[in-house]
Amino acid sequence: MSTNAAALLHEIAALLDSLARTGEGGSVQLNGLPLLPGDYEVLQEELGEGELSAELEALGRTQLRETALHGVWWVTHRNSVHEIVAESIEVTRCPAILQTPAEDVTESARLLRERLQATSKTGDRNG
Amino acid sequence: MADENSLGAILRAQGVSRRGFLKFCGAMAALMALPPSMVPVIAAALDKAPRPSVIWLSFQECTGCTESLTRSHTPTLEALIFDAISLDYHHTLQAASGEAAEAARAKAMKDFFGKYLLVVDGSIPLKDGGVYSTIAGMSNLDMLQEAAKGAAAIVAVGTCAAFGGIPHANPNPTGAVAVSDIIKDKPIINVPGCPPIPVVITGVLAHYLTFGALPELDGLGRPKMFYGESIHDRCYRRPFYDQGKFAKTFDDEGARNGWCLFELGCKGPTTFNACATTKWNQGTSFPIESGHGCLGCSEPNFWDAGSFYKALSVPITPVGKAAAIAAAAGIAGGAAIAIHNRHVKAAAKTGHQTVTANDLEK
Repeated sequence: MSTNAAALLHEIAALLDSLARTGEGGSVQLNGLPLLPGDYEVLQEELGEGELSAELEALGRTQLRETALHGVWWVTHRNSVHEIVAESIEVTRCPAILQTPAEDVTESARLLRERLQATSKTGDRNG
Repeated sequence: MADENSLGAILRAQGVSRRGFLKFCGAMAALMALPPSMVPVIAAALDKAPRPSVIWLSFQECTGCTESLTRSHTPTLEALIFDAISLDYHHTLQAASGEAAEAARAKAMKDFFGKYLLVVDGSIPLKDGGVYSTIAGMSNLDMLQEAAKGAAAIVAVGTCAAFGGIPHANPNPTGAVAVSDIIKDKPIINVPGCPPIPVVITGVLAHYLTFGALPELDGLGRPKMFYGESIHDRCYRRPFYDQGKFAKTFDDEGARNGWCLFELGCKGPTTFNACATTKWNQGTSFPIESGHGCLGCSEPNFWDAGSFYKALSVPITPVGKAAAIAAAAGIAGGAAIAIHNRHVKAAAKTGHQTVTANDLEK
């Protein structure tokens, strides 16, 4: 195994320790690292495929895949023409971007109320 | 609620969701080499950041810097940031021309006095009263001095604006100088490169928007987050340098094996830029990955620093020795190599070496 891939795997192991002990993980930004040819493939092979994957459609597709190592997520952000804009390995129990932003929850409640009110008004008129 | 002219509001008006905005901020954090824990902070700051007025002046230049920034037709991060600023004057990009264009510049300078960002690409000729480059009958020198007065900060984009670049190269017939040679009373950020990497240009703008302040700069006025490390130190071929494995010609076994291009004149060790990690053409590659050494385009006097194809110093023995010293002395050894290489470069500049056919065949 090349030294760069091995170093990253050691860093991931340390982040996993930290996540288990303190609840705080971390992430490794792949597109900012000087990877040797083959490093990327070695990492993919070593981490493997897990049981959960999610896709987010926002400014292009983002793929979040848990690897065979629980708590280690491979996150690939793409733009709308499928080019990778950022790629990282996140050590966390759940990537933050999967959670619904609080403002969106407030807005959903407001939107649904508005829709219900509109329906009840229409209903009154028809009834 | 953020006001409707804030960056967050503008992006949301363009249909960017909150998760999309977070994704954008995450990519920005990665770009600025900030830890992921900073993402919420960046998101909160960018959400409220007012849309800044930008005046862009192009002087003695080839428009390569503007091309670099705008050739990314895809909805990339740089396009988003670019959309989020109010570009009030840019004589290549704006629709207005002639008097209307100059009126737009005058209006922006008046309305946003003390607040606008001034972006400059190209050097400024001083010889013969600056007659060698004029816009609307005004010399570049006069226009720069006038626009600098009300600028909050100046971003010198490209090696020409930052260090004089190619117009400044020997024999410098127009007396070309850098922005920092003229303006002494404003903060100046140098973003050199011929051209600079597009995301580095926008990364500086993003940093300014996020923190409302200039990023930390190195001794040459370059933001450390992008110019903090040499191409050599971040190069994926660095392990071959350390093992003493060098390509001797562009078609030998070493070249085919992807070994270090130091002996073929690579200027990676004395060049500070983000090419090795950020890369070019949507992250496809960078010159060394394509098999050619770094030209050192983001450094002062790169055009006069000796042949592009002559090694910075004779590697095998001295590098072995230098590497041993570096191992013993830690970072100081690396600095010693850099100082030595800078000395070689300065010597080459004095001698004003040009590229010959022999250099290419070496």
